[in-house]
Amino acid sequence: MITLSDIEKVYQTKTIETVALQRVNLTVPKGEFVSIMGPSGCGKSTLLNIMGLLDVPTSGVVTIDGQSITSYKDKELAHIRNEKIGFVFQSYHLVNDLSVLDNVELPLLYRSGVSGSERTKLAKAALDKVGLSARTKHFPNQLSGGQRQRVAIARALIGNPAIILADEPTGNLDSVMGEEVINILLNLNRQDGATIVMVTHDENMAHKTERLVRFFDGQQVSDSKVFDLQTV
Amino acid sequence: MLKNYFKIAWKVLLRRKFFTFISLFGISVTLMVLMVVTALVNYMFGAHAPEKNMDRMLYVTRLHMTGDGTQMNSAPSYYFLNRFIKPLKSPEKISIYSNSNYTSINFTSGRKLEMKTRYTDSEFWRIMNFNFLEGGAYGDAAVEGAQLVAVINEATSLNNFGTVKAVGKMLELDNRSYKVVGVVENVSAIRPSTYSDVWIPYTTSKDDLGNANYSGSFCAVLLAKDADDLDDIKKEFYSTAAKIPLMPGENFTELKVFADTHLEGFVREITSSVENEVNVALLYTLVFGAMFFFMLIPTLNLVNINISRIMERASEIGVRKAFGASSNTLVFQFLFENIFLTIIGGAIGILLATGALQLINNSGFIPYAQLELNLYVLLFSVLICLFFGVLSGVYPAFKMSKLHPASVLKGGAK
Amino acid sequence: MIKHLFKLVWNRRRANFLMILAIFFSFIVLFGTISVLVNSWRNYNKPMGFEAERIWYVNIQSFQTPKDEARTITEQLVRRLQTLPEIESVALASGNAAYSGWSSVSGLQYKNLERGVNSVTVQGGDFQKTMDLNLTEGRWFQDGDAQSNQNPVLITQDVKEFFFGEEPATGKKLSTGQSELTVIGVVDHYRTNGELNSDDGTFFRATSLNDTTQVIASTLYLRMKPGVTSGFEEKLLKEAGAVATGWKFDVKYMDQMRSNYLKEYLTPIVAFAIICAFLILNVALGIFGVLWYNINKRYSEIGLRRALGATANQIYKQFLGEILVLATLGLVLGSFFAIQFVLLDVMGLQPEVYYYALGISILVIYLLVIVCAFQPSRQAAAIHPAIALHEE
Repeated sequence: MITLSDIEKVYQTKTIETVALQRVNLTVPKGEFVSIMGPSGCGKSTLLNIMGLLDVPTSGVVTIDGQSITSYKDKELAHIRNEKIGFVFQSYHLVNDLSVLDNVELPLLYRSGVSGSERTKLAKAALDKVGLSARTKHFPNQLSGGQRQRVAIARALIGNPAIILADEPTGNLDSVMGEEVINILLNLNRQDGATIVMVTHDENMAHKTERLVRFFDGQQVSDSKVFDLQTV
Repeated sequence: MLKNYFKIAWKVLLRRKFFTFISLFGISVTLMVLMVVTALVNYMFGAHAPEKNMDRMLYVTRLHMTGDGTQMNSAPSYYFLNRFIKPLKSPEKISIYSNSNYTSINFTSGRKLEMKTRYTDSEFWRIMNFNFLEGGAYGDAAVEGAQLVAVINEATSLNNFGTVKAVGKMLELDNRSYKVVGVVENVSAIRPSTYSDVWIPYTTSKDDLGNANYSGSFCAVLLAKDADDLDDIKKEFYSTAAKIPLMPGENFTELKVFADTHLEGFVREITSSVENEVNVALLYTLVFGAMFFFMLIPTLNLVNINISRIMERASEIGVRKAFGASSNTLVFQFLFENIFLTIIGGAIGILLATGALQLINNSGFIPYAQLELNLYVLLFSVLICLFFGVLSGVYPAFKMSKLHPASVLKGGAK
Repeated sequence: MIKHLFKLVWNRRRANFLMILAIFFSFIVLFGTISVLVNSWRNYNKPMGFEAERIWYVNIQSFQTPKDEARTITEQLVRRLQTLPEIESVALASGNAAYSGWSSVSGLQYKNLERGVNSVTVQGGDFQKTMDLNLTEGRWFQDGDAQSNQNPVLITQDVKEFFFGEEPATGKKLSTGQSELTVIGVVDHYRTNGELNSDDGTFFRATSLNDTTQVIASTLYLRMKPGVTSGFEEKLLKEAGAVATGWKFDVKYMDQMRSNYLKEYLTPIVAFAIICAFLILNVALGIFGVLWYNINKRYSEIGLRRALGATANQIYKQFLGEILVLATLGLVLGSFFAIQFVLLDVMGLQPEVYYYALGISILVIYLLVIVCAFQPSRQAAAIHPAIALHEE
């Protein structure tokens, strides 16, 4: 479970002050699949960065699994990212110099106490889940966009995170591949109970999820599940 | 078009100042070292005064005798050269003179002066082209009559007599008074067959020159009418040498003596070869091999940096390709840039080399050295520059031509 | 993690190949230069056995003076010089002293051991006192030794250790060619090559000026009283000339010979070392530039790793680690070639010298790459993940 309370993010340069997020309150319970929609520049990415602990809010509190992470230092944040959060990006961000298997293993490399053989076993299991167990030795540039994104999803779930954050995971893909990817995410949510927050531009994709939050100008404007809607 | 190339090249170099600095540093220092070495080699082996006719000269400096498990390498004696070499027919002129310098001293006004002294015959002055500042050489009569006359160099003149004219003055050498008849320009110590402070007739030596010992401390130089005659002279020399009787009173069973050009003599010295013909090609191979190896590291470095520079501009190249620039145009532009950079580096290298040579000349480490960048050295440097520029540009350019515009434009590398 | 680093380097092998090659060649050049430096330094640190200061080294040329006459004159000369108040001690010996450029080597044998050793012939005066040699065993030559058919000799400590180990050498017999030598004493050190050259030890033998089968030694070693300056040379030459009319005496001050020797020997080494330093600096700058570029290129990878839970410190260590792996590959290749050098003994130095040089070169290369990688790696660690991962 992840909770954002009264989150504000202000970018400050010498001359101007830009408000990216304004009093955002959002709770994603365990096992939920949430879509976030909104036009470009509405603060979706900032929100995702803050949820992913890649950025700190100007004010407000982020709580993951009941743990408030407000005053954490870089090292502790890195540790929590590693343990609790999985990322999927629009442009996959695979390391081109590493094989598919090595790419998937990457998060476990930054976790202490996981042996090499265990890493390989887990990575193979994760690749199996996304249907790529035959491609472990390939390199990213030998794969199609959809396959790359599936590798990225395998990488996101290998560490068994509390929440998977997907930033326009289908944005670079054609509709067939996009479908493929969204189905994998849906399966993960339904069968394994994975908690997923997905930023998307695509209404069709968004409507497949159980909850939809819309953003405009740094503010939350609607939430299709009424039980925790907090109007502005 | 060319102007456009210059403009782009200049802008590119300015844009990445750090990379440009690294490249320039590597190129200029490498070229500086190569130029200093070239200048030194040119100074050592080139035909300069007094050995202006070096391409027509053969030197006889080594005597090799073996027998009964022992061997002896030494310079030949005056007796030996005078008896067996002097009668050769094919050389135009033959001179016999001491192969190394004796140190003569005098005490002028309580100060000890050391002077390198060489014994020569009168033919020496006809074969070598010394630049006389005052007076002239001593002639046949002076040598035959064992007259106490001396030719001195500028530095000795200055040390003994100050700025006044030295000709006609008496010069004290090991308690004997020599009359100065000529003053010549200083000859550098890295010209081992002519260098000295003082030259005097060999007949004034206290050594017993009639002694029938073959080994001694003299050498001979044979001057050919023109460079093509050298082979004929060598032929006569070696057939004469084969007939020289073994040294009486010693147990040697074999005797060899050699006539070499200046360069061959150098090779013989470092390889201790006792063959009649030495392998000069080996020396060239070694020298060029060493130079190549020396340039290899900076070149590799430059290639590394060039690849980085190109990849950094991958998107620019992609755009150019997308708008229709052919790979050839881009490769040419890059090579042009690289040669441009190398030439700037070369220019800096020339400045540095000039400084380094000044430093060597002024340090006095090589007595009377006057190293300079002459036309040969400069031409050679330009050649190295181009070689360097092309060599370090080709591989990166090849990589560049392989860049796919589509994949580059799509990004991936930020 | 190390396996991961090797994987990264290996998968980027084509891009890394040139860098490894540059490191390899730098290492080879460094190894050669450092071998020479180490060798010189080791030699320099061994004691010479004497002090060059206050020693005058005088070569005698007697020209055409008949041999018998020359013997008498030389003897008178030594005696005359001994009486001069400025001179503390005089010796007549062979000219192969340190810095003189002369050398004379004889093969010595004991049982099945054999070694080429510098041979110094002492013919008159007091060589031990003049050169201030230190005896560790036995005695120096006495009157009569030169005529003795036992052929008494003294050897230096290193020669003694080579032939006899810990046992006392006095009384032992060595042989050279046909003749047998009897060791009467051991001198701690006396080197006849300069301090930067290696030396296989020295042995001293005595000959008599009266023995017509022996050549006349042509070098005088004079130990001056403290405070005697070069101004004394003119007087010395007059005194010597009065005894030996028409002879030539070439006076050199040993400390000056020493500084000339050092200058001559060190200049090429220093020139070579400077060139080597330039080459290495060149490569270092290159590595720095390439790393810098690489880190810019791998911006998003760094962001990703940070997102996946790598701390800044881990990123820093990764980049440092990668360059160390690269350096290691270059060094493994380089060491392979360097060891061939050692096995073939290309430079003719002692094996320890190569091992020291190998160690130092490896250390220098590692230090170099660490210094070069330090700034770029820190820069990599400071990259902000949110910005690095920013899409568009």
